Amino acid sequence: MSAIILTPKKIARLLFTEQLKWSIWFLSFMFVIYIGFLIFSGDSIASFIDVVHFSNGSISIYLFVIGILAMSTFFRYYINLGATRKNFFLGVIASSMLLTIAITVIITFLSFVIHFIAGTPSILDMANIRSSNLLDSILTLLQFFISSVMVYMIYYLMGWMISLTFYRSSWLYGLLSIAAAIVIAGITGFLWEGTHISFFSHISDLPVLVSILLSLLIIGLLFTINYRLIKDVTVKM
Amino acid sequence: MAYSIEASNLTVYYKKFKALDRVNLTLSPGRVHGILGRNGAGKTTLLTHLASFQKVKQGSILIDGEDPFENERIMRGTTFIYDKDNSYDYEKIDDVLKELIYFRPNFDEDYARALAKKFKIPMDKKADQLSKGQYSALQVTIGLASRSPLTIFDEAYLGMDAPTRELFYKEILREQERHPRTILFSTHLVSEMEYLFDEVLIIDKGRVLLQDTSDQLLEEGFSITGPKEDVDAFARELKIIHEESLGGTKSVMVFGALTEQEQQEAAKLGLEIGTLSLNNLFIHLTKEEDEV
Repeated sequence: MSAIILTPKKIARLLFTEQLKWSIWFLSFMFVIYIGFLIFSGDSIASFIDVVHFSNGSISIYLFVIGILAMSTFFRYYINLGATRKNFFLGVIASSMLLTIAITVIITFLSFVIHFIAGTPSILDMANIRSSNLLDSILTLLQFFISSVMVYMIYYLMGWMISLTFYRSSWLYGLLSIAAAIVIAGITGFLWEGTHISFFSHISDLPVLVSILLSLLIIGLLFTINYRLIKDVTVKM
Repeated sequence: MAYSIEASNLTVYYKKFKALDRVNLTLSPGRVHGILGRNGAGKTTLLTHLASFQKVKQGSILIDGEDPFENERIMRGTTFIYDKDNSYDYEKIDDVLKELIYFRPNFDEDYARALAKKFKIPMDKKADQLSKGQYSALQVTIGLASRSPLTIFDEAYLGMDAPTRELFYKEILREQERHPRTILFSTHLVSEMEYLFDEVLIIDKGRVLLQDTSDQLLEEGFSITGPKEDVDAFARELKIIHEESLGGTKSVMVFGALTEQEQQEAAKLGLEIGTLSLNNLFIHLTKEEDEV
């Protein structure tokens, strides 16, 4: 059997497989909690919250934690197996994109399944789209999909940035990276509703396209910061 | 396949502390190199740079003719085995060995399993359940069975008992016959390992103190024993690294080859000339003033 060369693609595949396993566990627990919530809370709450909105905050935090673990769990492991830092970086980027997309797909799918089985609200209901206009529905879904993937991605990259900073530098820089992450989370909250921290949320009524472009800018910035932090980092023994 | 190693003017600072000071060395491929040095001499710093765990800031390193840092080919061909903490390693031993097939191009799973059996590593346990010695044996198994062109063992034997260490040394010799590679071995246990080394590098306070083949080094050190006055007279011009007296008899350890004329003169005086072990050379060349 020929050995795998640890290219970014291979690292991404291995990381994605592992992190998807964790995510399925996480989503299963959350799903069970949601079902329990539906059963025990009565109609009043269940009638206006769907599984996506129920889980949105916790998924962001989950991805933030997974981002932290990308460094502490996998970095030394792959370097010990002969991977380069650059290939590891690219592998993490690709796997995190796949993971955020996969989680968004799974949660959307779950939302519709519960909607049809239990009659709970769907994502479309939550967006107040009652019309049978197919185009509106598709656009709403698309916006939900893009915003979720971007927010999740930003949280993942923030977690990774913090763990990278602590790994590379002193605790002081680590604390600064936490402060930077709070600012970034605030800006993300300004761009998209439904995150944990939000600045100026009262004026948050940006066109979707602007939110997408600014989110892409934040993601690009986090890519750059994280690459700068990892490209020549000393591997801890 | 084995990698050659060259370092020139390699200097490393940890803040203001100079851990390596203009280190120049050439390590030939396919041989076992003993990297010897006292605690804090700079052995691990040197090895982490060779393994690309740290980036060279001053000086340069070439492995198999190329800069190893972030070099896919060289990093894939380098296995660095060091003392690791197994508290957070929850993988099953069987899986650890299985997955290496995918990552190390020359990994021999059958050999790894045979070695694990010899080292009595329980295959059904998880890594965090192994004792310190068993975990070290597992790391050594990975190092040997990976058959990487550059294999670095940094104090890899920690926790292993004497019979296991002996088994490990024998395996190194067997493996070098079957699949020669460049092996770097940093150690304090010079006396029990010196027969393994083809070449020896002694580092002291961040500098290369000595680099030579083991055979050559054994010709570089002598002990001279005899009546105190005769030994003193004979060794006056020689580089004495250690001396001991008992009654009227004195024994000195000398660093540097003896000429034929000197050997004849010693024989005429009835002095006994002996060879020095690598261990003695190491101890007495690296001792501090206050340790004399």
